[in-house]
Amino acid sequence: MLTQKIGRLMACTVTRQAHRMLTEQEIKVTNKAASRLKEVVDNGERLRLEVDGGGCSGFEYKIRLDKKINNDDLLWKSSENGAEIVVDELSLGFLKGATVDFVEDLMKSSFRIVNNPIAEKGCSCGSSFAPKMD
Amino acid sequence: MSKFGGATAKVIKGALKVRQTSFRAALTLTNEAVSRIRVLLAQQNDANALKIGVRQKGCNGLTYTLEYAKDKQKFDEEVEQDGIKVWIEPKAQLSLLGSEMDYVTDKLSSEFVFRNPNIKGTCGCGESFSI
Repeated sequence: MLTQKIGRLMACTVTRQAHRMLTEQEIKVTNKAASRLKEVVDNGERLRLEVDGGGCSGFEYKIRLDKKINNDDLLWKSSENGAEIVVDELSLGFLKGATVDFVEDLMKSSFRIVNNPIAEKGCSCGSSFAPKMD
Repeated sequence: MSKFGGATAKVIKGALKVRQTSFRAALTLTNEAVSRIRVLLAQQNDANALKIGVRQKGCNGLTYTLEYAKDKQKFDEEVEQDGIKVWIEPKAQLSLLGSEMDYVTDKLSSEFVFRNPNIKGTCGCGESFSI
């Protein structure tokens, strides 16, 4: 039993270490977003960023909470409070260099992906975008 | 017109959360919307109401906007509920008729949502709509 637990713990550790950490050049996270994320996550939950086909400009961001972590995920971790963000490799290709922010205005408060250098234009709510052709 | 910043609203077609009255009110506010507006107005020194406008914008034609307002304009429609005032500019009044304004909160976001029986459709995120 104890051996099983230790084995599982070690496997967990190995699995976690296998996930490459995201660099500052790949994803920036504002202090506000990291702080807000720490407030809302349950144990073991992370913010998952995805890019999906759809929306009025062709691609759209999907942001949700997820307890799962997959083989092709990359990981960001706050050095301040330990909050974590995951993004899969394919999605990262569409938002490399972007910033995760928590935006508050009169109408809405939410996590958003902003300043995406790969996005050429988007709809006004910011959830859909078209990539530059290069 | 207004010196305060504006923002845009999410619109949903369909049924109201609050029970329908026998006549069509200009706009109904849920308790959550009233509470949120009260908080917002309390943070402002010289705003007396939230003002709802409409703009030609977004991929589906029209978008509601929201801003702080100090003075009621001549043709603004006033909705008062539990001591909270909302002013509706003339262009927005017709399409808003009978709608419900809600404030929806979950872990990742919180936002005003209009449940609008008059609209034909919205774009995927609900910010833009057609009538």
